[in-house]
Amino acid sequence: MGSSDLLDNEVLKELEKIKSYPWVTPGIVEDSLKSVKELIAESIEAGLSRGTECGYAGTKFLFSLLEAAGKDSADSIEEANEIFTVGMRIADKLWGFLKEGIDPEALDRVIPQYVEKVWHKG
Amino acid sequence: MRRSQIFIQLILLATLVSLPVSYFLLPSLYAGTGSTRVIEVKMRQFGFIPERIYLRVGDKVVFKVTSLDVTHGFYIDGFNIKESVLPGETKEIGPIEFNQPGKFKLRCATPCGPLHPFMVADIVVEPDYPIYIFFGAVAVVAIATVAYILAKPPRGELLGVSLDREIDLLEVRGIGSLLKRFLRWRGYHFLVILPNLAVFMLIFVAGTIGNPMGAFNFSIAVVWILWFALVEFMILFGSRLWCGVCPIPALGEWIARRRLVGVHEPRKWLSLNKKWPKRLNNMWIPALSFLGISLIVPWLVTRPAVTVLLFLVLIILGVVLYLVSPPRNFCRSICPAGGYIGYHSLSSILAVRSKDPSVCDKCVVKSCVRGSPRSYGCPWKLYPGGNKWNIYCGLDFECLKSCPVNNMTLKLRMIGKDLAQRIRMKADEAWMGFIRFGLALFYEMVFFGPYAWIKDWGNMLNVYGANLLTLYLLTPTLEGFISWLKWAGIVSLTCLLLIPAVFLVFSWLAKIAAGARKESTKKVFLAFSYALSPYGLLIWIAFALTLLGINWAYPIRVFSDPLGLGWNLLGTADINWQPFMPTIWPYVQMSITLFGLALAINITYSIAMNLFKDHGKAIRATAVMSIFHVGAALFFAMVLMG
Ligand code: SF4
Ligand SMILES: [Cu+2]
Repeated sequence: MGSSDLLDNEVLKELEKIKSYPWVTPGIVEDSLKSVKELIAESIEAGLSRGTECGYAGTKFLFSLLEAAGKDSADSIEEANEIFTVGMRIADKLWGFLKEGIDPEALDRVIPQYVEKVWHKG
Repeated sequence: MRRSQIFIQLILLATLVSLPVSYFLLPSLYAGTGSTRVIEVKMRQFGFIPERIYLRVGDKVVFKVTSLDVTHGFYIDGFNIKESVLPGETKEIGPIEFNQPGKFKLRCATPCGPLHPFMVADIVVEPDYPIYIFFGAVAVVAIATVAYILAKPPRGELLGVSLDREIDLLEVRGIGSLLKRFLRWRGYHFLVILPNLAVFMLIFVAGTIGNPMGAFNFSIAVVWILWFALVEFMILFGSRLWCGVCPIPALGEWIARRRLVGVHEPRKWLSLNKKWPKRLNNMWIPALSFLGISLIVPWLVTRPAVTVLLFLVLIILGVVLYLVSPPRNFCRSICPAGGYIGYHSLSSILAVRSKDPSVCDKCVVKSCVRGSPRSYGCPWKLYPGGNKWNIYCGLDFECLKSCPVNNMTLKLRMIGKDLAQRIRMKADEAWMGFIRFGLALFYEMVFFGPYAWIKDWGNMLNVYGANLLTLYLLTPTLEGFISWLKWAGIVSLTCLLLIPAVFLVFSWLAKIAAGARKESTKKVFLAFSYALSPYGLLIWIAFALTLLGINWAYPIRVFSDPLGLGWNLLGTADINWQPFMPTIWPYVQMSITLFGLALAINITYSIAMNLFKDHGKAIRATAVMSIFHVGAALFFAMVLMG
């Protein structure tokens, strides 16, 4: 399976949602997604529960974005909720991919493509 | 301010201040007005004969003192006399002029055996005006508080202080932002535990190989004088602050997390991850184990071996349970200290709360529960964003770190605020309240009272001391064991049955008086029991203050000579045992207790309002319950001055 086959529409739709926040830049999104992927791979390995860990991955996504942007906190609870939810859903997708046996390295290659698609498509 | 607010605050302030002041006013009246007398006193382990000596104010007294067994020291609170009395010797001490009416303690000043610190007798200088002053003060405070609630204070008010008044500590200019940075820093927890861990190590070493005599051993002086007293203050001003710095569960926590500081990923605990039984999610074990430990207090606070054994058990349980079922289940539902600290924290002025609850309602992130890369989800298994009670909030400050919109903060509020605002009804907590309340009165009476026989019962055997290596010395004789059973029986029955039974009768009467026959007595009883949370805490604080005032020298000494081997590391090893203004403490204790009384009455009224939703009913129920609380205050006054 080529990495472009992994370009999942739902993931793209999720990422679209956070595009409007000016401080959320493609570079930091890419890094955050990679760390989420890393976490999910390790969590599967450790035999942890999908529901709980994807929730945690949502916070990981949120907090690594905040940190990379040099922000101490989100600007509003709505913003935090949205980014968290996006992170959680993407994490769940990634969990599905990895469970299906997709090579983690293929995911690493596809993550920049997601970002590219959402932020530079215009 | 309304008139009733000014009234209650003025009266309280005036009464509580004038009590200690009266102490200074009385003596000048009586200088040299009495006669000269000779009084024979015999000293023995661990009491005086007679146990109570009655004098007239103005009397000059020569004491003819004999020791019946070992060397004792003759010391009277408030007089600069400290004479050692050798076995068989008779010493004339005096003449001493007693110009201050009231009750004074005669103490042993030379360590003479395990229960030496509790070797006391009473000197009652008549006429005992102070007891009338105490009784009068109880009456004034009780009447003023009832009058204040008769004036129908608004729902959100205690003793004239609005419950809406809160200080957000993290917003205070200057220190607020520093404090916020410190508490949100991941290293915070580790850093504050570290020094305590060092102290723990020293306690183990001292208790294992140090001086077998408690007074000279770090483990006893630091744990049962310093820590024990300071924790009471910590609860009032800092809620479960101790739990946040306690090293007992820390080892287990660090192992299970495989980290000292950071958050581990993937989030697998190094632990068996067993589910914690629901049945244990309460305070029964802490309450009963606290009572159990209290039964061996005459041992615990005098023999290093027993203290070290207790600590060993706690630390092993703390670590093992963490590794079986993380996170803080041991702290929540096993640890005896955690139990009473949590119970009284219900009244604490400090609380971790959300700034704006509506934000938490909207929040789906809930990182305060699920955790985040910045923090663990609440280790005490709370939902911090919606938490309204301090009892199980361990002040780990994880939620302060985890909230993505910084909606959690640290607040100062009126004592007892939470209890006044909503009803709580848990039998385990009620009994924790009775046990703590009963023990406060009991300890004051037994340890600082003159009755040697009851101390003999608790003592079990007369071995001076033992460290862990000489633990076998503490094997009790059958006779000693049986007398201890009597002691244990009295204490347990008082705390587990007698006090609750009396409280139950009052609750039933209160319900009838309120005209709420249909209301379940159990509900009323449990709800009203929480008035004992602030009341009991304040009585313990009064006790703790005196403990420190009388025995401050021991902890200071052992820091220079922790093992009791004659070292002098910091130059404080030779400090003399010299109680600090010992005669004023009863007045201060009474003041603090009366503040507790006022709170208890007012909180009872708030609880009654929450129960019956009617001012008239609430007033009548409160009037009845106040009799119980006033009775306790009068009893305490008797113990202090009678
Ligand atoms: S404290 Fe913060 S994370 Fe927890 S519920 Fe409230 S807003 Fe959400
Ligand atoms: Cu003595």
